[in-house]
Amino acid sequence: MNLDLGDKKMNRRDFIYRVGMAGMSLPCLNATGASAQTSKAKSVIYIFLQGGLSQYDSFNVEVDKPVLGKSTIIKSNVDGVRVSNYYPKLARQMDQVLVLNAMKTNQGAHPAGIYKMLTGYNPRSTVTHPELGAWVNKCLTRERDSLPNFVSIGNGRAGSAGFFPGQWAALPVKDPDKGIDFVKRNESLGENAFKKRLNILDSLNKDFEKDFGSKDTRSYVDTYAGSLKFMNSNDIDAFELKNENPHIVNLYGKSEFSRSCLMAGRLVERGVRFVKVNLGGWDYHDGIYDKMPANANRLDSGLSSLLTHLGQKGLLDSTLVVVSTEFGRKPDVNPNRGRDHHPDGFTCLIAGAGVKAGQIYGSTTKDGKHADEDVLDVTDFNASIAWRLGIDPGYEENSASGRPFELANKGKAHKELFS
Amino acid sequence: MKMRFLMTLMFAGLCVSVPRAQGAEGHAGDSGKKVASIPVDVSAFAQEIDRLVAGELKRLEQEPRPEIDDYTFCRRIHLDAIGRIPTIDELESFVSDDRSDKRARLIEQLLNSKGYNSHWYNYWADLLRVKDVGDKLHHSGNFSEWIKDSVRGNKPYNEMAHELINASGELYKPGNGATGFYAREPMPLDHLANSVKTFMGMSIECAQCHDHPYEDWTQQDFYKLAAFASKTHLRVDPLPKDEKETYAKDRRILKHRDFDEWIVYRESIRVKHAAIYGTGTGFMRLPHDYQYTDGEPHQIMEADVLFGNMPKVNYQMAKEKLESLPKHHFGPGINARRSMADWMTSADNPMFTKATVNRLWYKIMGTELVGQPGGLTLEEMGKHPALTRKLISIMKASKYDAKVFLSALFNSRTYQSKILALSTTSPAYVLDGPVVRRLAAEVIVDSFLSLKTETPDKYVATEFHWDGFTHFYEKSQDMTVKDFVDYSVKGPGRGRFQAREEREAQGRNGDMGPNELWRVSTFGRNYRRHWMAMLMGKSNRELIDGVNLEPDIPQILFMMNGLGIPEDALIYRKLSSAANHRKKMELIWKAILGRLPRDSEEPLFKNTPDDVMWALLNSNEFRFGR
Repeated sequence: MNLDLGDKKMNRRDFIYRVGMAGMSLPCLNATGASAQTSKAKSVIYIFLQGGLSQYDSFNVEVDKPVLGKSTIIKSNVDGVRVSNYYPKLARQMDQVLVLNAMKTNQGAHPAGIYKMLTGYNPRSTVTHPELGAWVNKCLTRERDSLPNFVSIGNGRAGSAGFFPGQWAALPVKDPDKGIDFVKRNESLGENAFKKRLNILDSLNKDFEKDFGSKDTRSYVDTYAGSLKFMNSNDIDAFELKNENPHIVNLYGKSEFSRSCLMAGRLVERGVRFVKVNLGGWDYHDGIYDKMPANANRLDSGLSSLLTHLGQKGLLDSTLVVVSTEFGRKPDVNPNRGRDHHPDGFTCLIAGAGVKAGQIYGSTTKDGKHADEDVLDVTDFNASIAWRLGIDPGYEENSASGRPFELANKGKAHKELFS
Repeated sequence: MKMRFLMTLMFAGLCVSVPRAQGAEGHAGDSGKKVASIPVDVSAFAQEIDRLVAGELKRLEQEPRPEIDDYTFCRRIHLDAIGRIPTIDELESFVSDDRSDKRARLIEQLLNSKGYNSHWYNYWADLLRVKDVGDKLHHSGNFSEWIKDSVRGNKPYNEMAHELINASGELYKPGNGATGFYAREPMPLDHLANSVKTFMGMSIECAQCHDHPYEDWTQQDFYKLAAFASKTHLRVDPLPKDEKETYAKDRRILKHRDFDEWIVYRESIRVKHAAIYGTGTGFMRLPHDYQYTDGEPHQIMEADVLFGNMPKVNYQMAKEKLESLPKHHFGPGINARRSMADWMTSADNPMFTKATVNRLWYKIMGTELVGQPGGLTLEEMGKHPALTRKLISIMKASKYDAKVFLSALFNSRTYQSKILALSTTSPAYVLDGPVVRRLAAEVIVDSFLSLKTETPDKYVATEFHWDGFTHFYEKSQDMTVKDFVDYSVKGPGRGRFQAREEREAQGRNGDMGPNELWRVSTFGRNYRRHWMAMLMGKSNRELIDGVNLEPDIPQILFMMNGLGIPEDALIYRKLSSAANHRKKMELIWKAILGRLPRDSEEPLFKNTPDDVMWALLNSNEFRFGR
């Protein structure tokens, strides 16, 4: 398609790259230089379990028995790592996973906890902070990239750019089986008819540009050009699950979360830097043992398939798979047979990209009440992810009003999580 | 329902039957409706503005911009006064009107229309960031109702601001919705920083934690200002004594019996009790980590203003007495917050009126009069200080009546001048009229309504009430503890508790029409977010000035592949009765762009109406104000 909607020289890559980053000295790379060691991860798949994963019914079973409630312990394929009975598939792959059992946050309510986990900052009403994915997008996007480097799959918070320009926000994919909203031309509209419309549009915009052209109007012309190229490019293929090799598709179940994981794998294979996959519903204040197993099964299936997928494609060495949640749940089961919020000692998982797999890092007290050894604050957690991607966790950007903010909010990378 | 294929099914949610024309609803044409009259001196205000602008142009040896024609004026005034393009009928009726004062008449008519209420409700709700906030502000309906009341009654802006800063008492008490402003962000220092930004246009939040890096404000200045409102706080639960003596026992019982019952019990009690307490003590203590040499951590500060005249504060406790008390004491409440409201909203405050006219100029003209709406300084007066001073004096003379002020602007030759694009090649901009800028998200989406129906202002926010919680508050006044317990046990259950109140509130509104014919403003509490408006960059109301006017891929993909107009929309009905293809084309240009096609555009006539409509709706001319 030979479209002339503005600057002919601009291609899709320029569009994704767009802002005047040319000649930028890449200040966000680790000060020590992006050595092979520090930039071991090329991409992150960030599975976010909104609602608060019950650590004592999943991956932290190294506590007093009453803390486990109705959950029972099963062995994994690694000595010394055990999981709850709700995760039989992952139990066979724990040799690929590092369990972080002493996570800590300072937020105990959902909106604030989610915000803290995803941005590293406490929510304030005077500024909004970029999510980690937006920092990664801004720091690692290069001229050669044709796909957006921050994609968010599934319902939930889409991936805010905070005080960054909107272009660094996540491209949302609400339903993995539908792909990107409105990315396809109306089926009843032929390519020629569409082209005709574009030609009319082009002529109108050129006239308008002559009299009223400004940075803002050109930005629209450019974004149309970029969106059209995006619509017509092979890159859309990354979002089309039906085009995946059946052998890979069959690794996964049919649930939406599994399909989302499949898409995340496809995107990472094509070089996308940060893919967030949302799996909500973990806020079980009552009837946890009735309601949780279905969700646990989704996570168990989707994540185990994803690890297999990445392994088969040889992508696990360069992809950091993260499972996080805003906080954990209390060690005691309440009278309503649920568990309430617990920020002091919860569990996240990381896999791939050279993590010290098959181990447990950090512990809670045996009564499950507190994070005990090797405590990992949320800010340190984010810093460690950034560092593994080769980004300096202390990298600083100014908000619109000139306030400086660091990527990891003073968090420190825990390099000992990686081998 | 068959849809024209300008669009896809993604738009199907908005596809139901459009009522046929039911007479000239709203303000179409000269309906002879009585409209409130604007004071006569508005034209004098307008002339004063024009005189200053003309003088400045002369001084700089710039030609005055040409005056706009009726088509351009009609579109522009509709966008700026009521937040949508005119319908084809409104446009044609205005253009064919041959009275010499028809522009002034249209301005007055629009300023007194329901469309105005809708458009300016959006403005205030964004500025004040009306939204639900977890368990702090469970329901922003009462807050929203307070704004609607203020807009409907054209409450003077200084009164609005004063009520917001000084609000106290129950959150859900009818008429007391101004308390939502505090409940919106009950962290006192953040709230103060946001109040200063909202009402005085200044950004002092840095001084919360350290001396401001490039302004004069020190952290101590900030704490002295915070002293006025000291100990103001939001409490959602009953006071401790009431809780212990009245509610605690059943709370315990329910908690151990059923989680949902316990939650409903808690939430329903909160509707009755959630309130803003504290009137300000006039004393503040420096933070525990105070780092400067001019004070000690926890040292007591007396209230003081940042600049201007110190209002009277009736201290009832001497500072020395307070110093002898432990450091969690801040003194008794003495209405010091009211003193701060007096100072902040006073006509003598050098920032209040300046910030207000700067915001309104920005909204109408598309650019800064003085500076960024949230980043002004005490000294700056903009690139045309005499004009700024004049606008300030007009605002004061109009007694902070937004309609009078807007009418003065709209009636000025300055406003009715050809638009200017701010670019490197254009002449230096000297505040001599509006500039090209992207329309607000709500304005774009509401403009689609002008293509769909003769009566786009039929379903606007201010016609309806979201008073579910307010209603329950009133009910709760007579409820005993047993009633609360029964309500929780037999009641509608967690989550559905709110939903039921909302449903009933909606029922009390009567016929609300199909929501695809609602203005964006009407998608309030119940419908949460208007996804299409969000896609166009509507503020999510997290922050002041939170709108996003930049394009992104999802927005453009929607405009190209998702936007549609139902087959029975006004524009299609008009097209079907157009005499010939040429008339059809003229109609499309007028309906979408508010003007006749140019000669140079005639070659485009060879295309089908749907193709042309698609292109016009996607064009920059449609989404940019001009």
